[in-house]
Amino acid sequence: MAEQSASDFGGAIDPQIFKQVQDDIDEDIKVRDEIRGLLKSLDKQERSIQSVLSRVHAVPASALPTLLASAKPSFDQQREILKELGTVASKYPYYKYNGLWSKEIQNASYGIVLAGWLGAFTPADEKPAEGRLMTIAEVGEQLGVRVNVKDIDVFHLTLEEYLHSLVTLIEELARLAVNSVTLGDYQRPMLISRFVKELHAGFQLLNLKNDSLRRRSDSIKYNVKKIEDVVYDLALRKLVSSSTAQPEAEK
Amino acid sequence: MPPAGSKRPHPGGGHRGPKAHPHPAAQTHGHQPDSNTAGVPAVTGPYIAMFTEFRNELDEHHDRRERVIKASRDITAASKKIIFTLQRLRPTALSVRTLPQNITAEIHTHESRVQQLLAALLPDLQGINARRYVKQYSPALQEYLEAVGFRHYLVSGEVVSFEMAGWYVSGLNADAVLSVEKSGSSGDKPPESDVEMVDAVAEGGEGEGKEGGEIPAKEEEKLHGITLTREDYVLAMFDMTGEMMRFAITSIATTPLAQLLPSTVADASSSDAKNTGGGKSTPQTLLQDLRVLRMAFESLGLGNTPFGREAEKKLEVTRQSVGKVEYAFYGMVVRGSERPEGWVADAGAAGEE
Repeated sequence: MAEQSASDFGGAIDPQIFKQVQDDIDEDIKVRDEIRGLLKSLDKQERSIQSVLSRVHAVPASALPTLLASAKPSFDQQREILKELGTVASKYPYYKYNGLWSKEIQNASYGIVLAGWLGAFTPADEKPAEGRLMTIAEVGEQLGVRVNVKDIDVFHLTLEEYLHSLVTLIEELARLAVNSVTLGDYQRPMLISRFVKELHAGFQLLNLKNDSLRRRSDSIKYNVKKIEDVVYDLALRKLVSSSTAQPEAEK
Repeated sequence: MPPAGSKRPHPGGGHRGPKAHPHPAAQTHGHQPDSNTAGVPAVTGPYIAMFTEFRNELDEHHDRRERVIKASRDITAASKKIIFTLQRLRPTALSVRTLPQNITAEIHTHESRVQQLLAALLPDLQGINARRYVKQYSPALQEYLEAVGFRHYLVSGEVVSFEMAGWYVSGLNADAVLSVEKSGSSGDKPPESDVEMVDAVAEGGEGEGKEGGEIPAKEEEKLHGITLTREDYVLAMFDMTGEMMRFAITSIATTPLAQLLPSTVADASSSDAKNTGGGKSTPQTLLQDLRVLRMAFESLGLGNTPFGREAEKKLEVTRQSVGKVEYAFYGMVVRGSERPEGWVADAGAAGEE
């Protein structure tokens, strides 16, 4: 260990001492570039999924099946890229490079939970319907990645990333509640209201630290309020039957 | 009641679906599962069970993180004390490759603390979590390595190798590390501690089970040690140059002028290195070594990674440190002749430590 040959300088420090360091730095940069390349194509698919799904604000519920079907090719490609990313990423300790893809995998998870809420990915024995929460396991299944791994060191979707995607879902649903009314759909805001409140109750159980998830989940209550306002407006004007509005509001 | 009236989402009321488990039986994590909801009416809803599980998991994560942060803070503090202790050395007191006993004894106290804290970290850093809290503990590792590296340099005149650095911070080698320390300070042993140090390190590195602690070995055998990253190692070595600079400045101020004159500086590189095997940290060798380190750092292609950016900043500090020592030499050469012959800044205190 202490065998570094003395240099020709007055001191005994070998100028070559950091040679191995350079190799490591170069390798690290190479890996980061490779991962970034994959994230770029992943991001492209995610944006394409988002742009398809965002049409939900402008089309009636009856058009949903077609809309969801048109997002399928992007979902398929996204899964392919994630598979590749998983192969590359799993060669290294998970927590070495996880900061690189955290945003992209949150977006990927969000695409799934939104599509799932709209009725995609329904189990074969159930009738497709709006308002379903994709569990973290289901999201992982659709993305083709492992979830919340604790025992082995591989690429996966973390619990926090999944929760982030749920916060984004809530934000999107608040917008959808408003736009559904514009489209003349007065029932969907009721559904959204109940769903978001239930999810909010879940988030309130969490002891979050002062991190980004904490800040984002703090914003859920504003979305709850926004949705409640929509429900209130509808109920006040008797646009929804009180039997529909009341139980939702009571929740 | 108007629907918008109830701002607080269902305080306990309604919707007792079949899936709602206000107190899920599946609380196997055994870690105050319901402490949070205890005072509140049971919350129910379809996602409560799921989120209760999430909560337990996040709590475990936050607890681990907290523990790592606390230990890291303490490691940093103890490591700083080691560095301060080393800075109290006077070069004249630094006979080749041995630290005075009072210094090693003092360091031993702080280093036992560091090793104890490192070992205590291990349970939280197993498996996939090995790197999960790197951000939390890497400043502590860097600080400790700065201390280890500085001591290693003072004693041997060399930069501690990555492998040896990793051995020090693994958290598994407490006993071996500390016995190396003791052998330096123990009065019974001959002061050839450098040889012993190398031997002990080599042994410890291979068979920490043998020597590395008979008492904790059984318990910790299953635990993996902390893996030092190349990044932390390099950043620690950057920081070490700052300590070398401080030490060099003190040395210059306390070295008799005759030994700093240009003729001696020129000679020092050859004669000094030969006489002492490069182990003695005279101001001249310190300056030469700082220059070599600066050059070695500068020749690294750092890249635009988080590490690269941090290293870039530290490189600038290293440049300044080298500059300060160079300027100190310059000052001695230019103004030194104005000193009375034989005058030394704190000759009285020089032999003290």
